Amino acid sequence: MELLKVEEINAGYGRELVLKDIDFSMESGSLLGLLGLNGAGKTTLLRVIGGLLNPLRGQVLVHGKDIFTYREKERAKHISFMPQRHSIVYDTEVIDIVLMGINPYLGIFDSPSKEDREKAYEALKYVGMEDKHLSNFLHLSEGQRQLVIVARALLQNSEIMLFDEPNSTLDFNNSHMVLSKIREIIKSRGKSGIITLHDPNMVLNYCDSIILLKDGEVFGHFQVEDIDRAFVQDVFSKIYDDIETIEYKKQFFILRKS
Amino acid sequence: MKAKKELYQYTTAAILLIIAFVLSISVGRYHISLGDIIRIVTGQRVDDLTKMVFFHLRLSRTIMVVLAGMGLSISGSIYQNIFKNPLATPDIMGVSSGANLGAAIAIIFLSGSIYAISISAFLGGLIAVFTAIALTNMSRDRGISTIVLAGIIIGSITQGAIMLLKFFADPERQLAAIEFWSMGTFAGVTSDKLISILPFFALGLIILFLLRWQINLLSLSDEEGRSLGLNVKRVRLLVIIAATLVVASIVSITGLISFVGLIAAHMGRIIRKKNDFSTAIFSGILGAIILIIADCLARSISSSEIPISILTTFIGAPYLAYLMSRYR
Repeated sequence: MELLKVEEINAGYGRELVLKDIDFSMESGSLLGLLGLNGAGKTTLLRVIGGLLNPLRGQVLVHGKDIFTYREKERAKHISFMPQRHSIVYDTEVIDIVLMGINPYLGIFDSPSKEDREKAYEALKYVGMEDKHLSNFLHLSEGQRQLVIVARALLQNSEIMLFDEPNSTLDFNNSHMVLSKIREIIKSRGKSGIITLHDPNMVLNYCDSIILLKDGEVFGHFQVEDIDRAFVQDVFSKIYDDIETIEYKKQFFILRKS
Repeated sequence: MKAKKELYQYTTAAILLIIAFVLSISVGRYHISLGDIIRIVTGQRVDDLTKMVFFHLRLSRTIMVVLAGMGLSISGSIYQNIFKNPLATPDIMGVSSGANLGAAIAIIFLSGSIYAISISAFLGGLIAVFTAIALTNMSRDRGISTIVLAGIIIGSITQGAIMLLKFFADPERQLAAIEFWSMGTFAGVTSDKLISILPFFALGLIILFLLRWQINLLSLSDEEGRSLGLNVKRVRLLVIIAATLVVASIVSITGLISFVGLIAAHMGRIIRKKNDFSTAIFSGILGAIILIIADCLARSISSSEIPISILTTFIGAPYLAYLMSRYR
């Protein structure tokens, strides 16, 4: 049985249909990139898979069970969701943010234990942020904050990890740093990850497979190891119009021609 | 280093609270000296009048002031978390205006006795909040903005009803009583009344304490909270009910006390620079200190006692102005 199976998902907001008949499935240990222009439905699809938005039709199955029949805590043990922008508004210590990831494993009246605190510290160490564990989260740079949120997802330890444009507010270096950390986690811990990104070059560099979304439909779904330059040029030009694909050190890069 | 600083913060706050507590026992029309207080506490003989004032007037009053300051500030801090807004107060769900309406109804239609007013105010506060929650559930979107809107609606309806009651009230007795109630006072606090609200107050506080970790997560957006396995709607409802229980049990005896919940919670955050339950408790200690000082002033500034909300407003409003100038 597949770990994750997305079946004929139709979803939207109010009367507006954003996603039409989305179908795909996923195994462990790979990173799937969702790519598309603004409004193509990337984030909407991620929210449906994360159990945060009820689809109008279709279902998301995790181990063959509909994700919307899971209780909140059970679901959170299977799926984590890293939002595009965290919503922390008050002064909070970094370690306390990471500790929020242990919540699915706590009862409603429980608080994190000393061991949980140690695990949170380990997660911070993994992303290289252990020195900051007592810092105020709101005083960190954007890149550091995203790493802390990645550490929180690490503590949540779900088999499926969703990332909604984790690099949207990051500079070039931080983008690469955060994405390589995410890839490392997926690979070393055998997770299955789905990530939405704006930049096709990032997707081509970091993901194992790609789903191209156009106007709410799957326009292309392929493994990165199977593709050649001509294929990339052909498929991507249908979304990004006037582009040129170049190959450098066995990787593909897309450039805008005019 | 960090733990040392925290210990220092708590010890300082606790010492200040004890000093304020002793001051509050001592200050008033009948002065009780520090020596007398020590003699009473250590079980030595003092004259009967001093003993009577100590046990029947000052002690229950001061304990009530401490409970009120703590309860309002802890609830205020938690409301700021739930509503993700540093200016949120327990009033946001209409608990104060509901209690005010309950008190007004008791003054006009019931006997107007202090017990009738307390019970009616307590019920009024609870009913207002439950109605606001029911209104929220009628909407498809049960997010924060809907809850705030429901609170505003309930607040407006109760204000309208209070105005109606005031209009028909006997201006000499009833109108004055309604007005006085809405200004708050600790003057009528007795040990009987204190004991009668204690179970509700304690129940609310215990629920809040048990939910302390979930309350942290409620400060996130609904979506982020849910993705971390938080049952946002259920936990938020429980927390609102528990905080309402705390606030309603206080104001049912004291009348409305403005601003303490807002400013103490805020000061707690500024000093502790954290967002957890211990910060809420720290805010509670600050709130108790502020309210004791305000109550001592209320008792001693003029020959007749001044309503407490006049003083808390004069302390609170300038503090808000200071905050406004800081967050440019």
